[in-house]
Amino acid sequence: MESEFKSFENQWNEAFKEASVPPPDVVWANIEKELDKKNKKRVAFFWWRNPALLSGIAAALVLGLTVLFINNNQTKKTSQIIESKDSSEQIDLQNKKPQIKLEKLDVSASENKFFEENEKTDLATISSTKNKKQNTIARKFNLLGRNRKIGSADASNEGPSPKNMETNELSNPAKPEAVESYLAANNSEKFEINKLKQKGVKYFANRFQPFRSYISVDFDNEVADTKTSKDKMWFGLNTGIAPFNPNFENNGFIGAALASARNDAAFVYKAAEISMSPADQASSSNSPLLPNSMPESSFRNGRAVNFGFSFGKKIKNRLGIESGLRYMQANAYMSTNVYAINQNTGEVSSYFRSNYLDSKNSNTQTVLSVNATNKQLYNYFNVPFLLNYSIPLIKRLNIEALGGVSGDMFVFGNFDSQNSQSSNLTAANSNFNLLNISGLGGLRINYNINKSWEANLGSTYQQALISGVSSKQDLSFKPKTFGINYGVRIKMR
Amino acid sequence: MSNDKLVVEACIREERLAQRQLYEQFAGKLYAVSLRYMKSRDEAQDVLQDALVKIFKNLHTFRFDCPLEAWLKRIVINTALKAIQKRGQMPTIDITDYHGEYDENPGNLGLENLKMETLLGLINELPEGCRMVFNLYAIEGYKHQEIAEMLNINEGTSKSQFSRARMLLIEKIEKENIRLAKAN
Repeated sequence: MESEFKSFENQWNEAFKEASVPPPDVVWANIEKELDKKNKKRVAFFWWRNPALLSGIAAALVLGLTVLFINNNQTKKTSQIIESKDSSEQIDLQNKKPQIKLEKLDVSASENKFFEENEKTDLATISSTKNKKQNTIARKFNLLGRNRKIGSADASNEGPSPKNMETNELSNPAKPEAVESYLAANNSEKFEINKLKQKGVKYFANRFQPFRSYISVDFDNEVADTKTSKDKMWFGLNTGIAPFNPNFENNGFIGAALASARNDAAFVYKAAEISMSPADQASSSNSPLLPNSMPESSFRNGRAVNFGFSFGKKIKNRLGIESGLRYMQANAYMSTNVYAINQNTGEVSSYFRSNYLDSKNSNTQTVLSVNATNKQLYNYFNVPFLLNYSIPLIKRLNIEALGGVSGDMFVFGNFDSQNSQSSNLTAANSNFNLLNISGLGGLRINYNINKSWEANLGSTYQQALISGVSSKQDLSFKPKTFGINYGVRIKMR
Repeated sequence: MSNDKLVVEACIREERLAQRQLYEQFAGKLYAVSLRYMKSRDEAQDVLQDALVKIFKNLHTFRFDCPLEAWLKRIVINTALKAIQKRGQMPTIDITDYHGEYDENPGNLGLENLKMETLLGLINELPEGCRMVFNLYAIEGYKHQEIAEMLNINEGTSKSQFSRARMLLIEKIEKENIRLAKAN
């Protein structure tokens, strides 16, 4: 009576809850073949991946070649001695060879015996019938119109019909009688799968064709779906280093600096008299101004270092989001020969800084002088918001493509110079914007150290999307970096 | 440490005897799953074989956070779905197929009286789309929304296919029960 109240679905669910149908032995035989293939490939790959082994091989090669080289050089001098030694060694070796062979035979024989005993013990519970085995092995597969012949199968050799066999297998699901000894099958029959080498024609059992059909359900999805949330969240510490390009663009600089210098006529006269630069002396003495020395302001890349923490979450099998907080300190260099002198305080700063970066208008005079290099320092807090897409490469290794934006907070900057005074610039006392936005993208390789820890190494490109300076003049400041980042992260539940 | 864990760890070390043990332990159940999804035995064997190769290759990704059997079954199911999708036999919506929400309880179907072979035969006679949705919904216990996501179809299509499968199966089971009654 109880079952009357069970739904349609529940009745079916219960009917198949413990369902078990023993598969034919050929399935295991084919699986084993596939596993053997993979092992061979892996062994070959292991040789190339193992640095210790490679170093050893390289060392042995170098040593061997050196010995050969030395021996060859010495051969002429000691040919007689070597010949006599060689002949005696060859006699010794010939005497020893049979013994070594015998030993090898003994070892292999004992190993085989041990292996067979193990196999037999392990498979002792599996009952088998000869007829069934032969029929199963002899079965020809005809799947999806693609023929797959197995071994030296002979269709005419089939004893009981496959239908009868299936009936037997199905009627006794709890007691799988059709399972046979793998060893016996493997010794008596050899399977060979005819591969159809035509493009796109192959049986799908052991591999999938590369084209993606209507829906993609690949193995990574299958595994990922059944995983827990352990891989879904992570927290990491990371650092990085990159060349830093301040990427200042101030097209009107020369004109503005020249105009400003000419306007400060009083200073220009003084400058002419004291001949501030060698270029001044070569200029025409008729002019009361300094037309010969062109204002200059050029930038040279520095480097940026960042460190911080990050955290992320997987939102789909391969897609994730991440954020964090990074502190970035960057430097760059500016060469300039235009200076601004504060008429009230006498402080000297670069014309670039005074005219473009300082927010307050001070009473300054502009002067062209000798070229000097200013070291600039920029300090930012970055809060990136990234999307990442992970693609597994090999076991434990995957590559992630990253892309997103970063909110960058300007902490302070410093313009140090040989000819000018150094002081910190902040968003409050300069034209630097406190908050900025930059875009960033890159690639990152993750290595699974163990179940919880992961190391990563990647390359990231970052560039400001809007100018970091709100200057009235024609100036834009869109710093960019392109460097490496690395770190570790812990995966959490 | 549980026996499953020991076997899995040995399989990760690629110990053949452990791999055989795992196979012996689960192959029957997994084959039964494969038989429900694939129309022929040969196809079911190929799916099982392919799934098990993938399982042995990727066993290191299993984190023991769910029963091993459930994990293995899921991989077989997805391998079977992928094989069916490759053939392009996906369920499609047909307005005439949709029978609306069913609220009528069919009562006891008497499935316990039928052999496994008969039950599998009934399922295998279903059209491809119906069979997939029926297996996923009725036996695996997925929701229509989840099935729709898995198969990249509409939720309505999933409901429609299940409705059709349900109707066909009830008819077939009734006939089978009548046949059995006559035979007895």
